[in-house]
Amino acid sequence: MKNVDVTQGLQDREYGKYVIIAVLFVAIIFLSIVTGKYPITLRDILNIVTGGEINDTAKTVFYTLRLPRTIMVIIAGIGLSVSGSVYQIIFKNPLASPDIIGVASGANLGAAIAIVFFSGDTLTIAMSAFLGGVAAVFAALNLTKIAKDKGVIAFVLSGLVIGSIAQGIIMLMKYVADPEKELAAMEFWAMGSFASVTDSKVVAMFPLFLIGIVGIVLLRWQINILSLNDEEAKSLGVKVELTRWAVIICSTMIVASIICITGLISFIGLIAPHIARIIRKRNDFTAVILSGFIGAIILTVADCLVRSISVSELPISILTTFIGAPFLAYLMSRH
Amino acid sequence: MEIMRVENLKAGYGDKVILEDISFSLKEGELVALLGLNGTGKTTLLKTISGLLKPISGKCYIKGKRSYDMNEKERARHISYMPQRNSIVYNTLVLDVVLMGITPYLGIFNSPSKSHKKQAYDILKKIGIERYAYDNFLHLSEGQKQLVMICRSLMQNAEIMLFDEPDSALDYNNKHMVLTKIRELIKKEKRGGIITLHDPNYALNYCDRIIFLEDGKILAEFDISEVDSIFLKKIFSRIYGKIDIIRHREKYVMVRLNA
Repeated sequence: MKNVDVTQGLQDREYGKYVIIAVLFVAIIFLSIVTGKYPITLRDILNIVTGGEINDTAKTVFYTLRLPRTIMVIIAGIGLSVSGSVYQIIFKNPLASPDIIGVASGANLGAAIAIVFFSGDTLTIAMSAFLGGVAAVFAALNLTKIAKDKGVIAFVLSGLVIGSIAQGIIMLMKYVADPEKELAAMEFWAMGSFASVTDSKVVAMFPLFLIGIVGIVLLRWQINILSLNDEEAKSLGVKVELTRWAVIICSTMIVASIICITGLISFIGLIAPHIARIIRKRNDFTAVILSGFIGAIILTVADCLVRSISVSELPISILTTFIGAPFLAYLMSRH
Repeated sequence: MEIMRVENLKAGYGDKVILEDISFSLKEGELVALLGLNGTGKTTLLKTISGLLKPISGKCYIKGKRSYDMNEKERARHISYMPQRNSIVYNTLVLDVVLMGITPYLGIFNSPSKSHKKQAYDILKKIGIERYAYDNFLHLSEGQKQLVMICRSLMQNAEIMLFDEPDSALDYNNKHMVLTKIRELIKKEKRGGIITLHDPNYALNYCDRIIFLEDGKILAEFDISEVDSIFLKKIFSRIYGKIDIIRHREKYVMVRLNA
C-alpha cells in the first residue's frame, strides 16, 4: 500500500530536483548580469541593491544594459517554453513548437516589411513584427473555418499554409532587397539577438506577455483536457473550439511580444518542454511551468555564451540550435 | 423509473443519414445492450445521445428535460460517454485521469481541488484499483486502463452512462471483469447504462435489455427476462445467420452452427 495520503501524492519525494532547478535559475540571473565586456562583480550587484558605493559606469551598465537584457532573456525563455509546452499538449504533437500556427513566420514577414519599406529602426521593426505575428495567427485561425474537419489537423495545416505564404513573400523581398543593408538586416533578424534590448522595450512588451501568461495559467485545467481528442474533451463538457481559440490567442500574445523584440529564437520552445517532461515524468501543468524555468535557464546560458565567445556578438539562434539539435537526436535515441 | 427517453431520432454525418426512427427509453438501474453488425449505427447512436453529434431531428429527454437544449457542460453532468479507445498520449497519473471526470463541475478558470482528489481516490478504491493511483496511466494493461476510464465516468457522476465497446481491446478474463464491474455499478447506484457490444453472448449475460440495430433502424427491442429461446433464436439468426440458442442456468448462450 503506497501513498494513502491522497492530497500529498508524490510531491514530497520529488522535492529535491525542483530545489536544484530553483537554485540554477537564481544563479543564471547573476551569471547573466556579470557576463559581458564591462566587468560587473557580484559585489557591485550587492551595492546597487543595497544602495552602497558604486561607480556611475557600473550603475549605468547595470540598469540600461544588463538588467533589461537579463529580464528579457528570462521572459523569452519562459514564454517560448510555456507556449511550446501548451502547443505540444493541445495539438497532441510532441514536435509542436510555438511557430506551429504561423506566429514566427508572420513576425518575420512583419520585420522584413519594416526593414524594406519603412525606416527599419528597431522600434518600427518590433511593432511591425508583432502585428505580423498576430495577423498570421488570425489568418490561420480564420482559415480553419473552411476546413471540413475542424480538428487539430486543420490548425496545423492552416499554420503551414499561412507560414508558407509569409515565407514566400519574405523570399521575394529578399530577392529585391538591397543586399548590403536590408538583406543583411533581414537575415540577422531571423537569427535572433538580445543585443538591442532596452528597458523601454521590455516595459512595452511586458503587459502583452503578462496577459498571455495569465490567460494560460487560468486555462490550465482546460489545456489539460484538450490533450484528449476532441470528442473525449467534449464529452467531459469542454467547449473545445472556443477554448482552443482562447489558448492560441494567449500563446500568440506571449510569443509575438517576445520575438518582435528579439527576432526568431530556434529550438527553445521545442526542447524545454521535453526536458521538463523527462524531469517531471508526467504531463500536467506543473510540467508546463517547469518547462518555462528550464527554457529560461538554457536561453540565459546561451545568451551568456553569445556575449562572451567572440568579439562581436553571435546571433542567439546559432547557440540554441547547437544546443537543441543534439538534444533532439538524443530524444530520438530514447524513443 | 424512466431516466431517459429518445423519440424519433434521426441522425448522421452531414447529409448522410445513418439512424432513423429511433425511439426507446432507459430506466434506473438498467443496463441496455446495443447490438448490431459493423456500420449499423451503434456508435453513431451513442454519440448522438451524448450530444457529440447533433441529431438531424428528434428529441432526447433526460428526466423530462430536453437534452439538446442543454449546453455541453450541463449535458456532461447527466451523460458520461466512455469511448472505445481513450486518447491519452502523454504520461499521466491514474489519479489525474480520473480527475478529468470532474471537469463539467468546474468553472473554465478552475482546477480540481483537494477534495476532488480525495473523491477521485475514493472512486478508485470503490473499483478496487487504488493501488495504481500514482502510477503512469500509459503503463497499465488495457484491462486496467478501461477500469480507470470507468472511474473517470463515475467521477463525472452522470445518471446515464454510455459505454462504446468497453471490451473491444480486452482479453477474455478482462472482458468479464470489466463487464461485471459495469453491471455492478449500474445496479448498485441506480444509474442507467447503454453499452455497445459485438458479442451477443456478453449482452445476454450481463444486460437487462437488448436493442438490435439493423441498417440504422431498431430491428427489435426486448427484456431478456421476458423472452424465450425460440424468440431469441428467431431474432438472432436474422443477424448472425445459422445459430442456436441454448439455455444454461437461467442464462442464454448463442452458438454458431457450422454450415
